[in-house]
Amino acid sequence: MPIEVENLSYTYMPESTQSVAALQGINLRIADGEFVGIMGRTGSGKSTLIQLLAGLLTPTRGRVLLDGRDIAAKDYDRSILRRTVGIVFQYPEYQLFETTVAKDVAFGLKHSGLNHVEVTSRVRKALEIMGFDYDKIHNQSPLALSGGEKRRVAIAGVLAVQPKILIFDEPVAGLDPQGRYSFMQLTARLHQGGTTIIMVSHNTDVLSEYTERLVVLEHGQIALEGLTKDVFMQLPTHDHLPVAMSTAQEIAYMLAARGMNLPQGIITYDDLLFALKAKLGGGEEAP
Amino acid sequence: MIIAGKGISFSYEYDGSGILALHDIDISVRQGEFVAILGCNGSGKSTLVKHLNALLSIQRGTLYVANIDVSNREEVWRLRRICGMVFQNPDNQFVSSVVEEDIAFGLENYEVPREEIPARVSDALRLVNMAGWEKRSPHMLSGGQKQRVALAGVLALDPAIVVFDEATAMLDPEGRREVLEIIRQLHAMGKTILMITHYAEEAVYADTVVLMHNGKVAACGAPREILTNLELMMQVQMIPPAPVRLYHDLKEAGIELAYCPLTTEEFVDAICRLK
Repeated sequence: MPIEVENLSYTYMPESTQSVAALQGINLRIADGEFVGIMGRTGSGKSTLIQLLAGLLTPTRGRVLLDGRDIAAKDYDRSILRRTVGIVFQYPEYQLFETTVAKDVAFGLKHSGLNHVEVTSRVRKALEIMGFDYDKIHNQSPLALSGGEKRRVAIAGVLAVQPKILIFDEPVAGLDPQGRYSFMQLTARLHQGGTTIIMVSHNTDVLSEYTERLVVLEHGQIALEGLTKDVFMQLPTHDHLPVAMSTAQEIAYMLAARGMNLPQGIITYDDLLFALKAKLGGGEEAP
Repeated sequence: MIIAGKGISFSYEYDGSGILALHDIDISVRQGEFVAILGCNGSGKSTLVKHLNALLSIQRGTLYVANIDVSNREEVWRLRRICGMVFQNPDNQFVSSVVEEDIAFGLENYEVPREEIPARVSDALRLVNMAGWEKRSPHMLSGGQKQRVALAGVLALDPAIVVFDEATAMLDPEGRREVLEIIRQLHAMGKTILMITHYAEEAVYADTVVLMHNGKVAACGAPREILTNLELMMQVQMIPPAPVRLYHDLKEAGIELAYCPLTTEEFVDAICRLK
């Protein structure tokens, strides 16, 4: 189910003198199974965009199309949207409220029409994807878990619905390096399984390593868009953008300034390491 | 020593399970020192610093902050004025819808004489490069600006110690740079700084790194000593800064740099010297 936006605009408090035009005329198409990153400074419209994609806000102008159908149309069956698009907000761990982990994860399936056995099987599977041992965790109180565990339980609650399109808002903020790595590995696995991933993040290194395509928002418009590598390679010519280069890219530029030219297109850590090994030889051939 | 703690242990005692969040911690910080507290989620970093101004009551051990015994409940207010804290999410730290009122709030609470307040508010805003934003609403600011306003509210009380509890975790790269820059300025002014982070890159500029793991101090020393120790960092599930990883990965491939670099600048320098 591709998701498309056409000439999408959103204004907060349109009637007020303090109205804020958060998005202005966005066009974007996200195909099935893509992994798309959305970057941009605070206030650039990232959160507004994903809330529109999930149908939580109604466009001021323009349309959001899911599988070709306008999700704001009067006759649109919004239960299709709810089943298809899952959204994980910032700090999802603050949204846990049930008495046990299993009940919390099952909450989104309440009106799904699934029977008890099916619900339990979905909950078990979602918790296992998030790295839990179902038998150990399902009866615990979610409030007694650590911050990182809570976040994984909250995400399991979204996964239980088995959405085809998953939207994450700053999912790695506040996670330590190990937590960040294992979260991104899980996401990569979901992506390999065919789920479309849309991820808002400030973390340049994470986006450069994992996404296929990037959208950079600035003042409510798309400032840059394309394959991840291409977008990163264009960043140096767009120095008004608040988007940082990845660490590896920054080092490649600093080396170039000192007269050491490495091949074009160094974005990730492995790109840089490979190029340095090739350049500096070290007596051994890289395998 | 502006902070002197010995044998600090602490348990949150969820369900009476009594797992120790802090286990026999000793800590000492000099006046004017910049200390980075590094460790993974759940290592005890926040629990430790919340003892400094008695947000958590000490259960075992002793802790003196500016010669005040933190277990003395009568000194709590004086303690909190000396040791200010900035937290992760700036949105949770505002009480007013106008920047200057938000900063004045703390001053009024501490019964700072009314005539002193305007000067203190504008001084604090100048310190965080937010002069001119007095009448704005905190909610309309960028992440970095919000965090700087939250910090101004702390600085208006002129604390000797400022604690940053993952104060950059929510910010975009621009906001993160802004806040780190101000932390360095405050350090240069002579404030004692404690900065909690799990980004090794942010700990590079500290005087001292305290590495925490499982509620204990795993190591303590100069950033170069701690952050370049690959084995130690892996043990506590921290990722060393990229230049350190590059140094070790290149070494494995038979390319040996003259020294292990800590910053990107040092790395570039070391590479250029090879040629």
